[in-house]
Amino acid sequence: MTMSGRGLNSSRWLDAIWEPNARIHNVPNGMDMLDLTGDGDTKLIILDLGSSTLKDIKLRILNGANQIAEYTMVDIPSSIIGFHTENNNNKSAVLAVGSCSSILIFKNLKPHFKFCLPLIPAHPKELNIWYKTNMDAELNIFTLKDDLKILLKEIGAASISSRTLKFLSLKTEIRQNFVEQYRKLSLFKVNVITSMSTIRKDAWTEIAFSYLVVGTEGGEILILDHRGFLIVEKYIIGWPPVAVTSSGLWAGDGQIALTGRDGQIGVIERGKTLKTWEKLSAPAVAMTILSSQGVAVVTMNSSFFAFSKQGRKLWKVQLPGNPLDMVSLPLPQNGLFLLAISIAGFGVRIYDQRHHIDTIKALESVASLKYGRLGQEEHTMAMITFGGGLNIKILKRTADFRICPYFNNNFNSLNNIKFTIPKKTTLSIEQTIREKSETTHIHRTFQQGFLRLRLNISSKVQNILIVEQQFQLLPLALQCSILGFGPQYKIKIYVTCLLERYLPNKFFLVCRNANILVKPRVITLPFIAVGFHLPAIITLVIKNRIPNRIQILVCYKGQLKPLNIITITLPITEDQIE
Amino acid sequence: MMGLFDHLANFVGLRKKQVNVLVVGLNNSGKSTVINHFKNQNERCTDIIPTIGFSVEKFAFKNIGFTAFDMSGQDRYRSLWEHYYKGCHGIIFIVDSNDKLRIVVVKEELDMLLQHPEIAGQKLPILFLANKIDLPNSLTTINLVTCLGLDKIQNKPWHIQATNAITGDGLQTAIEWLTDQIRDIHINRR
Repeated sequence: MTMSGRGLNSSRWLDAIWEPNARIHNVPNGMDMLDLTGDGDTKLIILDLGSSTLKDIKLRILNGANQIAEYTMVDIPSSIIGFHTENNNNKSAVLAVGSCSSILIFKNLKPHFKFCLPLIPAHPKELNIWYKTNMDAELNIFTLKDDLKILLKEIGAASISSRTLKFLSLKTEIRQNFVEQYRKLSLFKVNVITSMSTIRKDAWTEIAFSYLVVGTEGGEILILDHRGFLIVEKYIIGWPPVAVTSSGLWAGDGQIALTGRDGQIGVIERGKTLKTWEKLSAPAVAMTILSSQGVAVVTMNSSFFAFSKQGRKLWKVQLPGNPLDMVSLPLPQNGLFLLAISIAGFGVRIYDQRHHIDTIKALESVASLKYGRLGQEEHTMAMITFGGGLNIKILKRTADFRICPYFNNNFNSLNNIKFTIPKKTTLSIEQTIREKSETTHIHRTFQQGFLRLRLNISSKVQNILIVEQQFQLLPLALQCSILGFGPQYKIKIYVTCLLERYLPNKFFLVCRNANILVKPRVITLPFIAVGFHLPAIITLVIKNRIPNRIQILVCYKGQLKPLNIITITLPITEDQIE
Repeated sequence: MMGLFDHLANFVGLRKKQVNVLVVGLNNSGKSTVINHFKNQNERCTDIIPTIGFSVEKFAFKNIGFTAFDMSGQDRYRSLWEHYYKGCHGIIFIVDSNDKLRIVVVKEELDMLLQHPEIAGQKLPILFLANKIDLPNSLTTINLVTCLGLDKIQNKPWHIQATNAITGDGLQTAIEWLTDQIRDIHINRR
């Protein structure tokens, strides 16, 4: 059992790589672990935003700590995700980078395909304004500007095409040229990718193709085909989904959970419209799947929620600080499904359900997390800190999360107590009917039982009172006298019966003292007639010259407590005369 | 020719001494490939697949018959290793010197092996093979000694050898060392 002992003492994680100067600036969803070349060696793909000014954005592919490839990105990517496009025969995964209005597909470490989101037709009012401008023989910049400004106030910048926004931001003298150049072209709005995920189509095997799930600024969820990248399905949501996670198989019971900027959280199932579960008190920071049960969400007001697959809120836990990212840690060999939450100033905390069971301490706050297979290792956690450091930890084979006191069966069983609410079974209905018809009978039975109970209690009380009364006054009188000079004494006790009848033979006297030889220690009293004085003689031998006391206890057979205690102080032994 | 000598040896009565060796290491470090190389030319298999559980291989060297327990290195089978510690005469620990990420895992597994009650008190020869030395960026044997803390091993003879299990480079000297050690410790003592 040395192994588990070791696991207890030290951390559950091994430090594989810690490069504080990797200078990677990453965001949640900007990291993935993929076997891009199909050689069984999983690489780490990181989206490096360069700096906060978003210049020099790169896609970096690392093998352990060594960089093996790098691609410069033109637009600002929002998320990266890897998936398989084939079933079983091809191990190499495909990388999708969502960037502005297009998805870049990389295959075998090479750019492969670019998918562009379809353009959205502009708002009808906006279309109308531009149409009128087109019709007018003479171009009036000022009326156009005024009309568009009113429209901007009316519908908001988010619903207006980029052409109008550009026009309004230009200086007055260039506007004329701008309109001349563009008014003949049809007006469209550009859609932007806000979030991406994948969902397996119909197989749970390790290598099986998935559909690409894309959330857009226009408030849609698009399901893209794995081979041709065609839009297979389209769901209108109405608000831009900022985080998307999926569980299950899309051909079966699969569902896509999504959350928006205002904290709305809902779910889409195949062929059904959006089902909104709840509106969270704050916008979500990260969302991930929670085993097969549902989804977990961390929000900007430091709360950690979990929802069941049906949308029931399972728990809400207050986190000690602001959450930065969350990732799920499936550990099927231990039968566990954990969650890792990066919290500003508190490192990365590991939760089992709602219970905090482990902490990965980090020198800096961790900006993004990813857990999965890296290289040849199955249980790897990659972390990128705010300072740009890369930290890779490996979960020990012997790590036992069950050791933690939070995780015991008692606790769980306490939580899982179900209140048994009676259902409308035929039995209960029959009982109700019987209660209604037999009211008086039921009442009478109850009263009988109640009276019987009261009678029982009063007879018990009476019984006790009589017995107690019997010995309330001591039924005998004792008269003691000490004889002798010491060290040997004799005590003569006269016992007198005070009762009207004879004294029962259940009384006895006990002499108690540790330092004195007493003989006899116990005197059983015989029947004593009224007015008769019974002398009882006790011989004492004192061992030392300290003033001694002797206690005589008057006891009654069958009763633990003595009826009376008489204390006799013995005189000091006089010196023996030689 | 070898076969003839073997027959002769058996005929004369020089029976081979039988020893058990345990072959451990992480998955994909080349354990089965190394063992495959020790076998006779005609017994070798051409393609090596990831071992499930373990496999028992037999080969002979310098008049000693080896029974090698080729353990699986996948993490879900690594818990099986300790059941074979008892009764083994030597350990071959194979390290993928190109897998820098998992050097910590190797160290963790090695420490657990060395601290196991069946191993800790025994004088067992341990042969470390720094495999895949041909790959670029692979760690040298000196690097591995410091990374794995081999210099701290007290009561056991150990040896590290850079090898390439595919071509067989370094395997001959490595197995010679192990054979000599086992002969010294287990056979000559009797």
